[in-house]
Amino acid sequence: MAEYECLNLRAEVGSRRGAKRLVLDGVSFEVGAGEFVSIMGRSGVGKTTLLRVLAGLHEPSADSPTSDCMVRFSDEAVAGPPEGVSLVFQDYTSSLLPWRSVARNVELPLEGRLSKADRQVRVTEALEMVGLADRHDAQPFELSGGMQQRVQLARALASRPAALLMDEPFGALDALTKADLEDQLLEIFTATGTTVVFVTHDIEEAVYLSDRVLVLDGSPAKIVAEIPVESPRPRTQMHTRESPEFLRARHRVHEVIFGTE
Amino acid sequence: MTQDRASDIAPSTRLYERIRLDSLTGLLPLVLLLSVWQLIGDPESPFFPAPSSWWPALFTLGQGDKIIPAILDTVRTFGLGLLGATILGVALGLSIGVSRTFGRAVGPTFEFARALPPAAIVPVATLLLGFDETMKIVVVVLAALWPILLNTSSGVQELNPVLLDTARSLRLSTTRTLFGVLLPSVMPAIVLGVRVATPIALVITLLVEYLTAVNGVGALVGEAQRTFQPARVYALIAIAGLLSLVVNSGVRFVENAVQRRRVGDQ
Repeated sequence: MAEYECLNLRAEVGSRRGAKRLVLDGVSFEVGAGEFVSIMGRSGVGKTTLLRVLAGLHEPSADSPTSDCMVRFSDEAVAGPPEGVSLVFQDYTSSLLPWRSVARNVELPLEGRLSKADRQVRVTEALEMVGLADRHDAQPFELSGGMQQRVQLARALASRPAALLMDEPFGALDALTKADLEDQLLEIFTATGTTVVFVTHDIEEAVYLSDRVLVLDGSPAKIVAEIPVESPRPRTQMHTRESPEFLRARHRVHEVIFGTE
Repeated sequence: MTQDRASDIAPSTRLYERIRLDSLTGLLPLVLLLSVWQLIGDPESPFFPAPSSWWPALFTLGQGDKIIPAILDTVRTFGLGLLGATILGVALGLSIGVSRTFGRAVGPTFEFARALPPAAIVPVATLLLGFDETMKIVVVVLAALWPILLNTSSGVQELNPVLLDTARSLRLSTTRTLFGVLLPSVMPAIVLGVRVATPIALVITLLVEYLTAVNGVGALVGEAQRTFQPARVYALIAIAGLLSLVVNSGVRFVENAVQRRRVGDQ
């Protein structure tokens, strides 16, 4: 069953002067329920715009009335942020509320929706998933970058989403922290069965995490390649990255992005 | 945990010491000036009566009873005026920051109103509202409003878009986004605006009282001036100065507290 369906998507981005630039045109793909899909591409190609469209933060533009442009999440057209979808931003510093403790940040999306007791359960559950159960009362500024990004991930998980959208979530972290968080994300992915759409410009990361890698290219951009990754799960940093399936997929992505030299 | 507690105690001691030292050294020039004035001043001068004659001048001719009520009047007008300016400034500043259309619509009017000298508003205000406390408060609000409004609206405009995207994508209600995300985020900008507005509010309170003779320390200054009691004028000015000192350190304390709450004491 397809969780996300995207057909002939067009999207424009307005510049400061009001001129609009067509960023995406004719983007079509599906993401199955429980699938891990990465979206790759050079910087500025429109990966983030695509993810924002999926998150309901950016409206697709249907220029002609006959356009069949469509974005659907669990069989409903996306208009505004859909229920059951959580978005994780790269910029954790700006996304977390600095005056709230870790637990209160994670609690934010649940307020006004669940009782206090239920919220506590969800918060504890989410913080345990990201390995931060002992930093419940810390303020965000007391935590390292990797830990703050974990808090953001916990906040996204607290509402028990059907789909998790991640916009270069580990892009600002050092290599070791990044590897740690990748593995943690895979554990969570396996444990919860959440669908993940993951935007990155790191080929190794995309291949290591995903079932499928979609490559976005051109201006306006469309999906130019779809590369399946057949490495078995559970994956580990050492063994998966040395496996022939991993190397083959990585080779393929390189080829698509940089051409055969 | 123990680490947290240690860092909780250390900054407050430091803050305490800093305030005490600052106020001591900060008062030095004033003390020096008053001492010189007292020592070399002419005791008979109608313009510069010696500081030692100020305090008694407050109580001559049975006028002593007026002082405390006047101070309370001034403090109340100032307090209500600053409060009104804060509420109105934050509300308008948020609206301008959030809606570009609203900002464009009211921009020129605000620029016009902002440039009006408060002393020029007083005659109109007395005409429309009469000689009472409401009139005083309205004038203070109109003068102290601007720094708060401008700081709030630019605070909203400078917010990182990621924060607003976060609120939207978490599907927070409008009320929750406004009071739970937006308002606390611009709180440092608001507090800065209030700090700038505080002395303005106090100055305008005294000015309106002086111009209209409606209650308060400013009215007493005017009265003392008209009845040729220079020592009393100086005494009242000293009271106004002390008032401003107290109020400003209060605002700075609040500002520090807001800052410390989000970044700790680094």
